[in-house]
Amino acid sequence: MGEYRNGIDGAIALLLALTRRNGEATLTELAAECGIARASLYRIVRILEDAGLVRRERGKLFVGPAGAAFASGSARRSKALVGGGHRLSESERLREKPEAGPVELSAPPAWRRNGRYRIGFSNASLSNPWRYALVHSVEFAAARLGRAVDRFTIRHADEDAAQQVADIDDFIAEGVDGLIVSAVVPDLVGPAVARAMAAGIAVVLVDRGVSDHVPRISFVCADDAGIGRLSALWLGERLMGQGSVLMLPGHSEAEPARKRLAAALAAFGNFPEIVMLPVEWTGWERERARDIVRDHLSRSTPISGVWCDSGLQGVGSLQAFNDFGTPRGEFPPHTGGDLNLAYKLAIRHHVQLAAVDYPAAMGFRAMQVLHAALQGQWVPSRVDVPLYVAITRGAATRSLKPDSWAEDRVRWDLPDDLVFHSGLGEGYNPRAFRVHYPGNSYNRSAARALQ
Amino acid sequence: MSVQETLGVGALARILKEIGQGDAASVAELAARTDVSRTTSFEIVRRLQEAQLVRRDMDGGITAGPAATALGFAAFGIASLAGRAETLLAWLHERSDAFAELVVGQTSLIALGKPKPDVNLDAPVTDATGTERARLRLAWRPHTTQAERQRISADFERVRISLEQYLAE
Repeated sequence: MGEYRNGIDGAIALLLALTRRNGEATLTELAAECGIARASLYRIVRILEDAGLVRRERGKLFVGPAGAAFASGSARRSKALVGGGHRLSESERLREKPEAGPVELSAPPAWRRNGRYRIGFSNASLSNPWRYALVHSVEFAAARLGRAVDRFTIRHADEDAAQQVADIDDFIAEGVDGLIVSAVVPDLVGPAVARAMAAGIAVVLVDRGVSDHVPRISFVCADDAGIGRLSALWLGERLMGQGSVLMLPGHSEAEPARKRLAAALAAFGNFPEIVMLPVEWTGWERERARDIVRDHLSRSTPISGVWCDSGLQGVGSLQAFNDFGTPRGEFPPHTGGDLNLAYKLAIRHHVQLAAVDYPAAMGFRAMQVLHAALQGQWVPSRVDVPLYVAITRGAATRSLKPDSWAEDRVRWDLPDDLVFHSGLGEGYNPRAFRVHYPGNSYNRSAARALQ
Repeated sequence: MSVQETLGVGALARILKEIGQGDAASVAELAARTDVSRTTSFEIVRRLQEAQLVRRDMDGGITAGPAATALGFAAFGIASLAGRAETLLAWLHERSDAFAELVVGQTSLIALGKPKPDVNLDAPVTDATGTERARLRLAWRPHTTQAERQRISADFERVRISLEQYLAE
């Protein structure tokens, strides 16, 4: 039974009780549930009925037209908050892995305040250009939120899980309203994420997740398995199912890299006559990939194709072939984009390249999702930012068609370490990126070592 | 209930009705429009905020809160879809670039995108007893390919079963 203090409390209690009963109840039920004397209840009902908030019919109480009006306004209020405004292109839509079953949603966190949020971003590292683009993307989104952000702080963990746990605990102690986390190692960072959620902080994971059982508002990422599968299918088809493939995945402890590799190996299973050379992790490091390939070339290992899950290390492989004196047009086909230099090298040396880019724009999207949740919106529990495919002209295969040709996508006027698909527009230059949001100084990015 | 309390309920009813009719307004504006004193208006808005029937936006404007949205959906017998339906329809609309709509009886509760003369997908949203509570509708853009239509249809079905799942709660 509810607690009735006065008429206003009674009216509010009645409206809430009517909602709980899905818009239909007898006055007796409502009187009992709200703890209101019948005489007082009748007076409250008459007043609310005069305003159209409720209506009586056949001895029952229903929501009136003025109450119903709140429903039609809700979509208008939420439209501006939910969604990234990105319409899937036909190729993006068709490239997605089909899913069935309900769309999982997360309830918004407990209401704290209306706008002027304190937000933190716990970033795994700045170990490569893609991670700079991710940070820039998140910062750009924070800047776009304007006055809705009271303070935005970024901490980099330098691939140190213990440091990241400490960073997250610091954010909790500071009382942030929302937190974006790109996890160093899921199992080690998960408990800290759980602590943040338990403290009432809305947490959105980006790029790298944590274990499924760890509560979170949402996980914004891209289809890593799709990257592995599509790039491997392309390479297998380009090789017509023959030859040997050098496997150069990214970071062995990073969830995205492991997923991509697993999917690639499964896809290569469609080409049983292709010889798979042993997997050699590169840490997404250009020089490590260069050393690996240089070593193979010095030992005359036959390499028909090179599979990389990103151009971050792919450029190292291309440079090794160039160092070795491989004539233009005789480099084996490569996979791995993301990076402007990968495109430049492929075009310069007439390399067949398929780039299934991992969108750094997921940073922007993560901030959007977090803001929507803080504003009281239900949000999808998982948001997949579409992949982008670029292939060197004429090298498309049955399984992989490009969104654009690499020759049209490359930016000769912009730095080698430009990462595409950051959500920062065509003019984005990582070396000149400046941004303003409460919490940064001199409009400098928190990821500015490249500058 | 005293005369004072009766007047208070009347003021609450006028304020809540005013909020449901339009865009965000300051408490002072609400007070003026509803002929309620500022002191009383502030007190009523405070109580409505506690109950989440209203919220303040960043500029101090008062808008409907999640409890008011749920009240609105309860008018159509689908209170449990409040909040969720908006997100699901937005998800469907974004991914398909199609007109997506949730209809209850003759009332279009949520409509996103540019309406089209013809509806391509139209399916009931039923509760646990199998009673139709709403209809989900979609009209795709002209020149949508067959392959896209299949994908959009799959997304449509996912949203429909999601709505039914939440209705059953």
